[in-house]
This record gives sequence, C-alpha cells and structure tokens, in this order.
Amino acid sequence: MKTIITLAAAIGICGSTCAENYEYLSFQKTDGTRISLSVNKLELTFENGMLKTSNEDGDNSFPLSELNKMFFTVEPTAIRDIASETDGEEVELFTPEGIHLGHFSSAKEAQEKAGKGLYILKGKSSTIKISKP
Amino acid sequence: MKRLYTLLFIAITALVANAQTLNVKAGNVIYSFPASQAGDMIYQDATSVTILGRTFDLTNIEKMYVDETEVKDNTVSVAFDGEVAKVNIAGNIAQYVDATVSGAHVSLVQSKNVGDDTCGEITYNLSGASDDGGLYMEGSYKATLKLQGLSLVNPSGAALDIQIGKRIAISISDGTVNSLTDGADGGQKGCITCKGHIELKGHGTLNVTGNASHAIYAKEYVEMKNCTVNVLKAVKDGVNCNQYFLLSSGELNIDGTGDDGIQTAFKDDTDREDEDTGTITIAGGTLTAAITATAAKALKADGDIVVTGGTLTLSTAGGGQWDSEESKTKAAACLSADGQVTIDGGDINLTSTGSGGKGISCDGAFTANDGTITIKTSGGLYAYVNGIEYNDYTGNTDNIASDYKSSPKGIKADGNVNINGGNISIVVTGNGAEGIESKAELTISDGTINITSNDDGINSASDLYIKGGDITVVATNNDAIDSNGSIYVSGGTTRALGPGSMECGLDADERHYVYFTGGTLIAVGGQNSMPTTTTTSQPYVTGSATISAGSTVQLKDGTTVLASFDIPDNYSFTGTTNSPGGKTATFAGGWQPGGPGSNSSGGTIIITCPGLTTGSTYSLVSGTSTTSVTAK
Repeated sequence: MKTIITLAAAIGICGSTCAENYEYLSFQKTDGTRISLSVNKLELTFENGMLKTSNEDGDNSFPLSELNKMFFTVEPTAIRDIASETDGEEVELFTPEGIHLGHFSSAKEAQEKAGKGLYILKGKSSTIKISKP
Repeated sequence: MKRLYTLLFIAITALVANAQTLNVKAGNVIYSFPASQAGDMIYQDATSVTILGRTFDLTNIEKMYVDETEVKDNTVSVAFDGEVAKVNIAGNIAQYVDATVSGAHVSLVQSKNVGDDTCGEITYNLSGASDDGGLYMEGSYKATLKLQGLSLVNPSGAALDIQIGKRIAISISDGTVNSLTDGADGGQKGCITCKGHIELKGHGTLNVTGNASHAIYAKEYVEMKNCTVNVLKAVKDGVNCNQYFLLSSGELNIDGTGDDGIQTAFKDDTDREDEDTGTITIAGGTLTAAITATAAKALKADGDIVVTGGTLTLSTAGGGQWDSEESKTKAAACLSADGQVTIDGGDINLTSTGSGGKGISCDGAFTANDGTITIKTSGGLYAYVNGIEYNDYTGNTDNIASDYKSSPKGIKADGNVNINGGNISIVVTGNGAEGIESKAELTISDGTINITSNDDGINSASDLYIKGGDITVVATNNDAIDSNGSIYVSGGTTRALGPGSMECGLDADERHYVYFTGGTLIAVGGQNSMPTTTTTSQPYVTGSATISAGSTVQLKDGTTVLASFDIPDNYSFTGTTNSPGGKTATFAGGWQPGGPGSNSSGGTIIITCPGLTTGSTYSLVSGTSTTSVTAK
C-alpha cells in the first residue's frame, strides 16, 4: 500500500509538472497571425532571409522579415489565426490521418465549413496543422 | 498487485518521457532549451533570435531541432572525441557561458554575471578522449568540473587550464578512470593549472602527467578527499600550491617527479589571509611518494606540516647538493617544514637513502603527540669542503661550518623537540647519522621510542628532559643521549646504550649538570655523565659489567628486582683496546665527566631507579655475572 501511495504521489507530482507536453512550435508574425508546426521531427534552418522548416507533415518556409517570435504550445494555432496568412489562397483540408476532406477557396471558407477538431491545412506555400475549437 | 505497480510505473514514465527540447546548433556547440523554459523566442531584424537571454546570430546557427533530450539545468557537457569536441549547454545558462571549439580544444568563458543571484554554480561534465585536446576556462565564480571517464592529452599546453580565481571542485566520478597529460613546451605551471583553489573529490581515479612543470598547480589551496589521484610524472613537483594542502581521505600516489612531491608556499608575503598558512595537513587517507631528485622533499611546506591521521609511505633517494646561490648545502627529506612539524596521529613510514637525507626536518619545533613514526636513513654525511662535494664525508667535521655540511638524521628540528606520545622507531645507519636532534631543548614526556644510530641517538643543543616514556637508544659510534646543556631525568624508562672509548651512554655538557629526580635509567658507554652530589634527589649506582645483545641487566636489592633492562638484539658498539667491538661490551671504568663537583669514582654503567638509598649496597646482575655496587 505504501508503494502504491508513493507511486500515486509521483504521478501527481509528475502530472502537475509534466502536464505541459508541448507538441507544437508556434510562429507569430509581425501582423499578429500565428502558425503552429508539429514538433515531431521538426528542424529549422536559416538561409537567404528565410526560415525553413521540416517535420513529419512536410516542409515550410517563412520570410524572416515577417517573423516576430516563436514559442512552444500545447495546442496548434486555430484556423482563425492563419486566415489572413492564406487569404485569397486556395487550400486543401485533410484529417490528421491524411483523409482529404475538401477543397476550399480560402482558409476562411475551410474554417466555416469544418467542425471542431484537428486538421491539416495545405496551401500553395505552406502545410500546417490547425485546430478548430 | 504486480500488474498495478507496472501500470503505475508506465504512467510515470509516460508523463516524464515526452519533454521537448529545442536544440540550437552552432558548429560543435549545442544550446538545449527545454520547451517548458523557452518562453517567447524573439526574432530581431531578421538577423538574430533571442532565447532565454542569449541572442544568436542566425548566420551562425547551423540548425535548430526539437527532440526529447533531457536537459539538466546549470550543466555544460564537453565530449572529446579524437580530433573534435562537442559542447552542450543547458538552456537556462545559455546566456552565461560562451563556448569556442577548435578541433578538440575547448574554451569556456563564464559570464561575470554568474553568481548567487543569477544561475548559481555551473557543473561542467567532461568525458571522452583526445590526443590533441584541452579545456580552457575563464570566469569569476566557482564551478564544478566532473570527470566522467576523460582521457586528454594536450601537446601544446595544460590539459585543464582553469583561469577562475575561485573554488574549483574537480569531481572524479565513481568508477571512472581519467587521465590528463600536458605538453612539454606550453609554458604552463601544471598539467592541471588553476588560478583559484582546487577541491579534488569523488570516488574515481585520476592519473596526471606533468611534462612542462608540476602535475597539479593551484595558485591557492588544494584539498583532496575520497578520490584516487596518481601523479605519474612531473618535471617539477607532483602538487604545487599556495596557502595550504589538505588530504582528508582518498589516495594520493606520487612518482616520477623532478623535484618535490607536495610543496606549499605562502600566497602573500605580508597581510596574509587566515587560510594562507603554507601548511601541509594529512588528516586521513593514504599518501605514497617516492622522490628521487637531488635534495628534493616528499612534503615541503613554507609553513607547518601536521599529520593527524592516515597512512604515509614516503621515500627520498636523492643525495645532497651545494647551493651556490645561497652558499649552503641542501639535502633530501621526507617531511620538510620551514615552520613546525606536529604529529597527532597516523601511520608514518619514512625512508631516506641519499647523502645527508633526513626523515623529518623542520626549522621550527617538532612535536609528536600520537601516531606511529618509523624512520630509516642510510645515507652518509654530505659535505662541501674546499669546493669539492662529498657524499659520504668521513673526515673530521668539527671545523666544517654548518652551512657546509648536511648530516643524515631521523628527526631534526631547529626548534624544540617535544615527544608526548606515540610510537617512534628510528634506524639511521650512515656515517654521521643522528636519531633525533633538537637545536634547542628536547623533552620526552611519553611515548615509546626506539633508536638505532650511527652517531648520537638523541641530541639537544640545549637542555634535555626525560619526564616519561619508554626509550631505548643504541648508538654505535657516538653518544646514545647527548645534551649540550643539562640532562634532567624525572620519569620514564630509558636505556641509553653507547659505544666504548670516549663516547657515552649519557653525555651532558661539561659546563652543565645531570639531574636524577625520578624515572628508571641505564646508561652504558665508554663513559657517562653523572650527577653531582647536589643535583640529584634520586640515587644512582655505577659499575662494571659485560653487556650482551639480547641479555638482561638487573639491579637487585637482595632478591628484589629494582630495575630490569632488556638489552636490544641489535646492540653493538665500536670497540676500543679495553672493550672489543661487537655484540658484547665490557665496561670496566674510564673517564666520567659530570660537570663541576661530579663524582668521578669509576664505572661506565650507570643506573638510577626508585627504591635506591644512598650508601646502601645492591647487586648489578648482567647475564651470569653479579657485581656489588653502592648507591650514591
């Protein structure tokens, strides 16, 4: 019983201190918009004024001149946060498992049509994981 | 139940396993920022990014990547691997440590902002191997270096060059063997060089080779505990430091030095801080040093040498030498202190084989309160006469000034000698070798002392006091107990066995006196100093007898044994026409100096003990012979 209590206490301690499992690295641009990338196999390089990323979902790149900051997050960026990023750009919507859900004229349209949950939003210049609360 | 434990354990593991870390790689330096600490990472002007206070030039970043590396705060890891070294710096101290890596040569600079109010002490974990690598450190705050199986050879300088004038803990990780070697031409003071003070600890092993100067050098003190440190070689000293050296526990082995084993000096000539004592203290552990250089010392202190515990096995083999700069001779010694030597415990074994070599030599007082001291010297007398060096001078030394000769001795003190306890065994066999010499007063209050000497067994320049203890002195070519002042015997049991002819068992300066006020003593020699009728309150007897090694001499009152003396098996003397040399001496009279008013009525065996009455007759029994003697 003493061992169980000790282990349970350890879980409690761990739970409170380790609960923050940061699965995303989010980037905030100078215009306030945000993009989240999965940290799984994530690598970043800097070249010719661009930030280039690579992770399990694919490759992305961002002009450094448009970057304000980056930070780890538990949840990915919401669709509304990236709306202006892909404004006017056609996007494809997928489930995290890769099931194609549809083609939309813009991220905003995808936001309106999608239900709550996690999605992969693939535009012309970027592929990102997003969530709709 | 077992399944429940397993599930609980898995749950804990799962909770802690996924700790993301952002790694920023710049060449061979990686800064690891735990996701939970990173916070906002700010990009500036598309040229830099600042993470936890450290600003990175984006052109210097090879890449960033996220993994599940576990990061321990306040830790820098340096892994040497042949021609390269890799440095990993924990994110929380990234702003406080600058790292430069060139091949396998690493430079780490601690910011001046490192302190109690910021990140606190940083630990540097060193591992791996390189035949052309080294670590250089700068800073102004204390630090810990952990050696975790490090093998480093720096052909161009110190293996560890720590330019931090604070406390540097060198922790040798349990179960690891570490090896450090420096280059011969780097000009460094040590294979390990430290601007501050070093604390060697941990339960691992460290081998050090100093090819340029000392093996270990510190500008301030060196303390050592628990670990095993082997000095394999040093061009100069094994350990050279200022302020003090302390061995608390662990094992220190010193070999292959070109000069002293351990040397301490004062850091400052004046206005010394409390810890600036120039003292070597052995409080425990095991210290072994085999010193072979000419006139070198195993332990050499500008201050004192204090032994309170531990096991010391020290040897010197170097001979004496003439120092033309100081115009004086110098000789080797196992313990050499410009201050005092104090023995409060421990098991001390000292051997000196070179000419003029000594067991213990100090400019101050020598005090023994406890412990076991065993000293053997076998070298002869070193002398510098008319520009010629002699390693075994056998001529008359009466007219040779003290600066021009070094006599081998068991213990030599320019100050007082005080023996209050312990077990002391001294065998000094070379020409001119004395057992214990004080150039001031010598007092024995307790302890067990056994001396076999070529020259005087016990010698004092001033008064000599025997208040207690069990003392046996066998001198083969000079006095057993010799004082240039008076001799006061008030207690203890003393056997002073000298040779024949002009030499004494007990010899007081002819301008001074012998006092018997207690104790039990036998003195045997060609002659002996005796008390005057007014300087003794305890009677004594003198007589003649044949004394043999291994025999027993007794003084009896009828059938009652008042005193019994076992003659040591190693008893021998240099013979005369009256007393052939060898193991058996027949003492049958001769000159008996004893100061003004002394009783010179014959007898070169003198015995004093409680129970004697002046004028009464007693039996002096030696072997099978019995002589009648009258107490004076």
